[in-house]
Amino acid sequence: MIRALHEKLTTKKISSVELAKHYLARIKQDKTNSYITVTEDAALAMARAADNRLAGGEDVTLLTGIPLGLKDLLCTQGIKTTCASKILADYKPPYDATAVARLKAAGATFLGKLNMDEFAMGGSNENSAFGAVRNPINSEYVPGGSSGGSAAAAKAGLAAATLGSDTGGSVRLPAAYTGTVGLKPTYGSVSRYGLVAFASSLDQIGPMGVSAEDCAILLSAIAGHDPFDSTSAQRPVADYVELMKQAGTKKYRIGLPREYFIGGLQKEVGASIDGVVQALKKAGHTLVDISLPHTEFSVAVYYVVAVSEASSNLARFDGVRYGARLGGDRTLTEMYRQTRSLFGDEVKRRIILGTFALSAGYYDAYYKKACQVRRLIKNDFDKAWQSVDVILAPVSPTTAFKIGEKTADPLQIYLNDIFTIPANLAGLPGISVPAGRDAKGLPIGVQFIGKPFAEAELLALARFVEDGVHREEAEHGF
Amino acid sequence: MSKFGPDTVRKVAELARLQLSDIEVAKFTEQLGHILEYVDKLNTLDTSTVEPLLSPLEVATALRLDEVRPSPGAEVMVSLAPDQLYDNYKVPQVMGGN
Repeated sequence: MIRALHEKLTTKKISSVELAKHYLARIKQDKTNSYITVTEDAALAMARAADNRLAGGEDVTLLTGIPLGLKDLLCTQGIKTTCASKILADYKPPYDATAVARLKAAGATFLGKLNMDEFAMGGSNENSAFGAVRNPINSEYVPGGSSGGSAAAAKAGLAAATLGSDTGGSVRLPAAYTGTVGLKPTYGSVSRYGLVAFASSLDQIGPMGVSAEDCAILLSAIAGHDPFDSTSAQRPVADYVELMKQAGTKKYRIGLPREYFIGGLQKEVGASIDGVVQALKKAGHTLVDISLPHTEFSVAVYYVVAVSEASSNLARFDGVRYGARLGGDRTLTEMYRQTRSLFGDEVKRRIILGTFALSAGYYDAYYKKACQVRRLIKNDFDKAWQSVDVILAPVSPTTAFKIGEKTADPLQIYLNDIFTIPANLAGLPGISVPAGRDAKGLPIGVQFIGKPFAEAELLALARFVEDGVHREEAEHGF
Repeated sequence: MSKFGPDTVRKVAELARLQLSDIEVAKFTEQLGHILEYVDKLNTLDTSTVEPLLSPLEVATALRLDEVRPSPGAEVMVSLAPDQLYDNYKVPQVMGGN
């Protein structure tokens, strides 16, 4: 999508302003509730600047004049960044996230801020203070979460491409449910500076779009070392489009972890993986059966580690320095308690669970234990890399479920993340790419998980699936 | 789950400075009880010799030179606060109450 639009822009078939207006008009007709904030004036100003840049012909990048959407937990200077929470409903950050600043420097146009599960906590995008996001394929179904707005907007043509974030599958799951491509980079690939923290040892910003190439273009712009994030890797900026092309000429040993093909896997999801396996074999790749024996513990580890980090990170929302305040006429403690009652149910649940797991008497039994099993999960991958280059797996055991279907029992939604969580726990890159549809017409995603910093290989394999197995229509109205 | 009854939920919510209604306490006790029951499966693994993994990056703390760099300044930062007095954050009464 991005390259096609770039060509229209550079050959003057369309201007950046016209392109921005095209997407803004589509957003006005949106039925998915993908946007929390639409920044029409700012978008048009950015588009005008992009048109000047294109007219000058200097410093033009693939992203100059391309209309993008940003998940609403990426700080945008002077523009509301709500995290889909009442507690930040009017918060305007005084600075840009590094990923946002880099897209700005490349000349992109920002259309607005995208809906999500509150503080990225959820797998269905039903936990938003601004209403659930609907799946553009079928509005009765969830788009997946937590980057549901980012996925739905890319699919429905409400932005050329988007940024999301992935802590336990929040880019890959909604990509699978909406028929888009979503990449969770290696921990440390993309600076987390200005990404509102949920679980700091797991969070990564990731690109989402209608093609692997769109993700490669966005990743090239946002990845690379940032002195503002001490966990950002000391790696140079790279051209992932070129690296993806090079990686696409190689043959890989691809592992199929037997623990990912268990009971409960929807038949059509299994069949889609089979289709990809056959195509990969035909193309000369080697498929290898492998074992990741601690997979079944990943959800339990995640829901201790992620909530513990969250309870600590979300302590900053206290009604003192920014965000909303309630009970300002009472004592300080009472003000804290009333202000924090603005959190939604899922956020409260996780803060309570995390505070419990870190509390005296339970720390060893929960937090330390979970971190020990986290090591075993990482060791499983380290061992697998001795015999394979990449791992192929489902993204989720099933396709999208109906809105409201699983809200009563949070554990049921948590279990949906069983195939995406391990990559976050081990810090590995993972990509979700559409590989078919089920009998109801709902998209099916497959996942490639790679060694640290193997994003180019994952992008190349995703592109292979697009070219050789299944291609989703990209209807953005051109 | 005896270890995670309503009293535990109330106590932990107090530690986390969260105000919960009785209905929320009842709902969270049940839901979190289920989750903890599920988490208990970790205890089927012997991890006595396993070093905890706290982050995928097992590197020493990153250091940098202690240099003065531009920042938005106190006025800008304090202006974001719900209540302020000059360049200070203004908070309700600290002593007293609970």
